[in-house]
Amino acid sequence: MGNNEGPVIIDSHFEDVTSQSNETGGTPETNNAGNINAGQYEDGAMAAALREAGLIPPEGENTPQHPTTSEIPTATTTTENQPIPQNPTTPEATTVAQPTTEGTVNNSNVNERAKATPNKSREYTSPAFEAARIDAMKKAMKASEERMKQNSASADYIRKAQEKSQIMKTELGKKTEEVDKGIQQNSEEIKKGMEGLSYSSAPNEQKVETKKSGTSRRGKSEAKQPEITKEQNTETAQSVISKEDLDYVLSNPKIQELMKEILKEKREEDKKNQYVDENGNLVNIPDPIKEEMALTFNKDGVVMNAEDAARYGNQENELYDRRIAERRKELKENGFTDAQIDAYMEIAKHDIKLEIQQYVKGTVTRDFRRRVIDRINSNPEKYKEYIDPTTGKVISSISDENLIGRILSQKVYPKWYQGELDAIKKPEQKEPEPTPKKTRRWGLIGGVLGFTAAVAGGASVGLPITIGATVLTLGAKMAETYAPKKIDSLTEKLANAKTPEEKANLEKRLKVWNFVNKHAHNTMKFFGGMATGAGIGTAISNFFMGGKGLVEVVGNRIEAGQATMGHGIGEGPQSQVGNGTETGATNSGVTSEGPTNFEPGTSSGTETGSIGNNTIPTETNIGIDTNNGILIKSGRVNLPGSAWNGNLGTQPPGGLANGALNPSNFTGGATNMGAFNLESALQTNGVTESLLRNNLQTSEIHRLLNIFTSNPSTDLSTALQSLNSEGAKTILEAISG
Amino acid sequence: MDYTQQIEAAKQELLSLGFTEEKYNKLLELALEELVDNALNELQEKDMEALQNLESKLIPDVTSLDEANKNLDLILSVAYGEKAFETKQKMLADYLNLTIEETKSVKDLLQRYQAGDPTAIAAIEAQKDNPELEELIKYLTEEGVATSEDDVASQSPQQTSL
Repeated sequence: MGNNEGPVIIDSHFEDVTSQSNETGGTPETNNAGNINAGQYEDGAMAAALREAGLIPPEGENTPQHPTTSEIPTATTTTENQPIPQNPTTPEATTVAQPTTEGTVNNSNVNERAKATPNKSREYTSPAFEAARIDAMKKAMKASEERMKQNSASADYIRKAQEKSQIMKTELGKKTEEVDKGIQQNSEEIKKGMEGLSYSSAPNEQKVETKKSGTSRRGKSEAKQPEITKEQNTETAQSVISKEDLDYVLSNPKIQELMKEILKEKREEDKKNQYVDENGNLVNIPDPIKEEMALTFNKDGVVMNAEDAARYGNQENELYDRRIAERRKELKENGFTDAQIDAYMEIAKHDIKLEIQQYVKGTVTRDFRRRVIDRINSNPEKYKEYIDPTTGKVISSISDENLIGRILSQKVYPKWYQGELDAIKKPEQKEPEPTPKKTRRWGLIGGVLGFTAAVAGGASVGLPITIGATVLTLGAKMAETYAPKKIDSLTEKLANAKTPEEKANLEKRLKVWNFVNKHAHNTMKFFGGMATGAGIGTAISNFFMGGKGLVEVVGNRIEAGQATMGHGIGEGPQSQVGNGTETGATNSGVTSEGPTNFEPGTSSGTETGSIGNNTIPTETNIGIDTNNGILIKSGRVNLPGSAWNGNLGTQPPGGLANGALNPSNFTGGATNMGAFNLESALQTNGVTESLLRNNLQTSEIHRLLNIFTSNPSTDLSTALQSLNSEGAKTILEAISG
Repeated sequence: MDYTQQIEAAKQELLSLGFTEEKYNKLLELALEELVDNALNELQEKDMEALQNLESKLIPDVTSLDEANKNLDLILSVAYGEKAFETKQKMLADYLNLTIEETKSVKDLLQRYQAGDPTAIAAIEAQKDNPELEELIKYLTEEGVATSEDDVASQSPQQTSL
């Protein structure tokens, strides 16, 4: 080592001892040859020894170094950001600085120290002087060793210094972050200006211009100065930020990310005071409207004035109750039972609520508009920009009810609907995934075969698996016939739309399709909910047959001599049922025994149909007068004051399975069947119209009709007994006597 | 034989296979669901004008069967045009015939299985671990048609017969 080796770290490596005391610490060091290098004693010991020897110490060595903590050479304190001293005063300094990373050194005093280091070219030729110097050095060495012993915590000292340095570094980082943050905030404003956001105010734009026009690089350099406070930096950035500075800031991904978040928050905040106009633009809500909204509605959109709230509430309740009653009445008139109506209303009531809220909304909007106008008129000075100077009235853009309605529709009313929308949604969400139609069909088949198996052998062995094995081996042709082949067609097209026009068009189509889809399924639910049991079969059968019952359609063909009953036309015995003919109808698996007379006015007696393994007695009473019957007049129930009044009571054509016990055989379905069977029972038992009407009230006859509808095979006596009234007993006595 | 006749014939055949009126009605419900779903699929291919026209004519709050019928007829007429009536009848006839074919096939396999037909046994055994059938088993159990123990393995095929 030469004497140019001061306490400078050039390789992040310490020699044996490098620590120095804050006071006078210093440690001797030997070179490779074991010689003591006087230049390394910088702690004043050398000077003291020379002084003691009566010699003048070399220049500068009489000034002991008092290194600060930051001057302690450690690996961690080497910083890359320290600029290289621009004018090194000694060649040694330059030599030392060169190997350091990026031309930096770890200690700003290095040049000074280099100056203080004795120049190796300086020689002391006097032997006395030399001897004294060696002596002094030895003493100094000894003294240093003593101090070294005393300062046994030198390693600790280094460690502490490193820790302290680390803390400083952390603080430095924090300060840098603060500065960066300051720049980000300013840059956000600049970016807004650059993006030309619609809501940027004019003053902001001016600021942006100012910032854009700045050419100084102070902003950037200041950003790197930890000493600069946030406020200082903000001020600086607002005043002068050059395009380069801006680019630097904006190109920082971290800054961009933060800017996005801040921008988003800002937009959200702005949205609270904005609405979307008819062109889809965000527009600030005019002040008088905004102020009146704050006074009228709370954050949940609830009207805060108790009196007004009660008035709106009463209006809503009154309209709701009225509408509910009207809807129930409509349904009742259409022949639905109370239970059916209750079930339906569970769903419908939410729709009605939404419908009613439309009316209430209109009232609230009008009231609110009036309050806004009053507000402006009450303070024309404050709201002068909203008053037409020529007419002295509130400008039409504010007094326009549509504008206020639009704003409230966006800011207030959606909160009203939320409860109803949630209520409507909830049942849908709670509904379990419907069993696939395929499975339900297989279930029906399983039910049929399970019953068959039970009859035949008391077992339904492995039925599900058998069904599965069968239908799966039947091949895909059947399953695919009804597969939802294009259910996501529009959605897929939308996802692949290439142009905005195409996308907009598809979105509209999808919206309309969704509407149709919803109402199609609501209609299906109506079928399921309102037409239960046998009724639904009739209703759906009628739908498939173009509004006519299957039996009616077939019956017409029978009359025309066109109908062919049976599976496979022209194969084997089959029935060609014509008017007045008397034949046995044989279908595949269906055998009718006994004659069937289709001629009106005659009774066919009892018919027994054997269907598969089920033997169901069928009793068809053909020949009952339904034109001028006891209860049925001109083919319809004559019971004024009852929902039954006017219902079909015609007879079935006959010749069909289960005859009068099958609601599908009647044009009017189950109710037609019930009415006909009661009429048939009355006529068969010799009950006259006067006996019936004089002894039973309308409601009792109504009940009889219900009984024969729900249980078509019941007999009149049983039905009358269930009425348990004096009139019913009278009739019972009459028919039994 | 036109579709009306086919439907009537199919109905009679289903009754002969053991379907009750109630089950037949349920089958009609399923057929209607299939019909509507298929019609809705077709509607996705229709242009905006047709869809908007349909939207404007649909009755949103159905309160009677007449209105329900009108809605469904409207949907079908837009989906299938002039062939709407024919399509719905054809679809119902096809659906009923499909069910007949499935029922007969299952019945036949079950009979052969219980008679000890090795082919039938193999066919059923092959499906024992079919996960697709789990749903069916669950459904049939819920419907009371089968019990959870109603497994093919629980009974020797030769012990029972239909």
